[in-house]
Amino acid sequence: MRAYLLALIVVASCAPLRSGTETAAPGPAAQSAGLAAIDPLIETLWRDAKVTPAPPADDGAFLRRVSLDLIGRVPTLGETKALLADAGADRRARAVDRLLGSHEFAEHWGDLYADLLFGQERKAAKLERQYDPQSWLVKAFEDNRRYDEIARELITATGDLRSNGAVGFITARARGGGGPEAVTGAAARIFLGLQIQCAQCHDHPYDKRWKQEDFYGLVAYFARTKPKNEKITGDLGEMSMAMDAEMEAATPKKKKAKAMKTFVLVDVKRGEARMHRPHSEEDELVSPRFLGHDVAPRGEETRRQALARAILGSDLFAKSMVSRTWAQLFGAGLVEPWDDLGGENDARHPGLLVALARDFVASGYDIKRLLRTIVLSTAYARSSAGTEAGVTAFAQAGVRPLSPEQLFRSLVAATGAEEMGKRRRDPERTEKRLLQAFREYQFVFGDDEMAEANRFDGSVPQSLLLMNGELTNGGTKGDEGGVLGQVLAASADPAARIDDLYLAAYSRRPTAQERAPLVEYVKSQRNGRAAYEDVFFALVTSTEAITNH
Amino acid sequence: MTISRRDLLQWGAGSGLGAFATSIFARRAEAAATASPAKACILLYMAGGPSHIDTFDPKPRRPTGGEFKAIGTAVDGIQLCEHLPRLGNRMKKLALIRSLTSKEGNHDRARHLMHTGYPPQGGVDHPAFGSLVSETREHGGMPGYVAIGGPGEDSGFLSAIHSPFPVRNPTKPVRYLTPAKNVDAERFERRLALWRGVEDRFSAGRGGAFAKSQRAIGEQAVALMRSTGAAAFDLSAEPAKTSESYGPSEFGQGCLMARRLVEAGVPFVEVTLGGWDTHDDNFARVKALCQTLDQGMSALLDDLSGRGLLDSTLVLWMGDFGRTPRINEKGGRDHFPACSSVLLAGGGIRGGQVIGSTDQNGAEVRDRPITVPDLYRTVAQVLDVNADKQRVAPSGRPIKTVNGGKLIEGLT
Repeated sequence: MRAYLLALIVVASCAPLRSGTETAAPGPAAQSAGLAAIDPLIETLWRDAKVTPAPPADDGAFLRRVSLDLIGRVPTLGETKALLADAGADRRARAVDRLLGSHEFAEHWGDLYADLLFGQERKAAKLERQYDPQSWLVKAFEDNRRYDEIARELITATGDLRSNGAVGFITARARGGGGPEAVTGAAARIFLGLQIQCAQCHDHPYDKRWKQEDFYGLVAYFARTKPKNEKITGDLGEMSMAMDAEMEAATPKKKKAKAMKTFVLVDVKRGEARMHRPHSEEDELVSPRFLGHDVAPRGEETRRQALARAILGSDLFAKSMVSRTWAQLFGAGLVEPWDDLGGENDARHPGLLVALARDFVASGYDIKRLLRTIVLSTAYARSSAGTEAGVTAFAQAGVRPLSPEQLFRSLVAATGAEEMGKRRRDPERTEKRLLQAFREYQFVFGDDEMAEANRFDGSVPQSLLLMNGELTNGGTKGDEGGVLGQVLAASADPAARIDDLYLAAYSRRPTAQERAPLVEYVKSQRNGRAAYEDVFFALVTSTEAITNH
Repeated sequence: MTISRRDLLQWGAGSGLGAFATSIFARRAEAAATASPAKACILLYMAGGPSHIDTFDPKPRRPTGGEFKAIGTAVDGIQLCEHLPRLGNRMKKLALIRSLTSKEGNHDRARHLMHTGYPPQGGVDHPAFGSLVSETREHGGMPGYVAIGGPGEDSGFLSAIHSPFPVRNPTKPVRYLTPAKNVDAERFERRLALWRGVEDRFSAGRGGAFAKSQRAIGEQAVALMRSTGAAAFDLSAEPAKTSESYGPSEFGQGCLMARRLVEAGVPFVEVTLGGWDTHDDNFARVKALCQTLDQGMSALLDDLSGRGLLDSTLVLWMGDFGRTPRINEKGGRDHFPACSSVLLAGGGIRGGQVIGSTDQNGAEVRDRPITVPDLYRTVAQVLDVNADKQRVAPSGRPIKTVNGGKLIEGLT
């Protein structure tokens, strides 16, 4: 659903193909300032869980993981070789800084946050396609805006969706169905890490702290906010025109010319939260109340501005961001699930979460610094090899599925399909075909909210698309411009070629055991090029290539 | 269904096929031997919520009755909307429930309820009923649940193998059931062997459940490619006369594909007809939808019956909810979960009867209110699915196949 521009797929695979020398993991000199504080806490976590940490991941595995997490695709063959050839002690920190500074980082995290904030309801998705509120998020990540400012704007924004993407959060949630209750549930989950929406219909079934009136106390802050659907008179916004033209091209017959509409978010003078108790005839009106404290608007403040003040003043605000970010980077939370923090100042919140949250606040809510701290930590650097016993205590990396966006962009980066296509036919047609393929991947590989990403366990249509689709079959051809073509041109030695294909698909070299049967295979086949295509195809469609680990 | 030798040979180069083909025949023989509950279910799902008053619960000469006349049917005393004459002629095969009632008036929530039998609840991801049927039936290389023309509903906390296999548009070939153009059968086998080698080494090195699941699903995809039943997705094999009887619409052709899939051993097929969310211009839109429905569903009933499949196939018709008796200022009707109609046919259902009724305006259920769990308890019985079997959701909560409910008397 997210509109990625394919031009953003930076295929740097044309970097010189030389074999790098592997050296040990970087030493303490490469560590960032915040890091020293958290590694001992991680080691305590391991000791408490009585797990032996998995060995450190090698540079290639680290680069693959951190590229997927920060920029949403695997490294190209050239990028991997560059890191493997780098002997500098701070090479990982430099690689991380390069990724965090790239436009691809802003695009990928804008994408993740669009999913998180706007939700999955069909009407919300339609609104996103039309008005692209995601670009507001991309800009925020690009500029590394303070997280507290971003949150305040998302909670309090007013105005026309076309000119202020921040309006998108409340508008999409309210339009998605469920009104102010849906907005409240999303806001509490995202900005406080609370699953208080369970108390919408009755007192919270498991968490005795939350009563139905607590939920409606929060709903009351949104009771005077209305997303108005307004017809556009006069000039249409340029952005939405462009988006429409793109939609038109993709679905030629569907769209008829309809009057353009936009959404305008306004705060009105009246409106109350109405709570319906089970088995009761009449609704009760509930006043604004924040998790048991009276936080009323001061002076000219709107109810939403008062709420933003309360949220930003709660310890749960920074903790929920840290909890979610950790879960995004590890596939599992310090608190599980990440959005189940329970309540304010809870003594059960893990020390590591508390320390990271404190550091995050002290840094001025610096998102890039938080990411950098976590990805350069000793926990993030673990290998995924082993029996999975250590995964729960972050002593071993887990094996996780990729999102459709990560998968598509990774396949393009690993194979050089875009460059190959552009050499073969005109660039515009290549982009069009890639866009079609991308939509297909989005459709077939689905898209869930982050919280549900863990239960995602593959499907038959996905396997069929990988096995028989154009991107994998065409991308693994040995044509000019593609990665296989380059690999074949760079060396005539079968072992060196297989090594390069492993680096392209997995960002690592094969073991001797892995290499031998493949070398034997390519030697046994009459058509050499076709044999390498077969090998490359098997690699890029395998679980190792389509997961983060 | 005829299975030609060529069908067997086309993808038969690999090892497992012989055994697989044998098992499919053995299963058929076994199923035929036991005097049987329905083997399969075809759900015709009306997305958006069809107006009950303008389809199966007409209120002629009432202010809420709208523009359509009511017409008689093959069963004395039962009337339908004038735009459903073919279904009227087949009324003896149909059982019509006019008193389904629920509280879910939001599309997403209602879809969830109608597909799973449970209202949406935080913390439990309920499986679609079709996924539950898939889990309790053998279906060889074929999917257990196919959703045509709409997304269906996913398998919730059940394995992804039971999620619907989607066919977006039945009038277009289903893609990727055969290898890519540059890959012939032998090359596909070589690639598969390489792929298996790589997969085995990866899942041995990292004990991830995901890696194993991925491998199993890959094999399921290969089994589907090799399955003789996969030809059921190809409507071009159908004689023109049969194909035309279903009408040219995607829904009609979806009904045809559903019949072919049931023949090929798929136990649950859902065909969606969307567009029923008629907040404006209700009558013109419902008229067109009725015509599509009338032709497609009638052809399906005739075709199943002509092939001797109707007794073993339950056909179920329903949608998100009914629509308001009040006609709004845009000539539309709005969401109305208090009353809606459901049709059942085949699978031993006693046709030619109406169960329950609404009041003279179609505004509330007058007698025999039926809930969605009542409906699913009955459907489960027809399909011989244990309604009270408990499964434990990942949150630790025990979830029964059907959320309570009472059997609807007199349907079977």
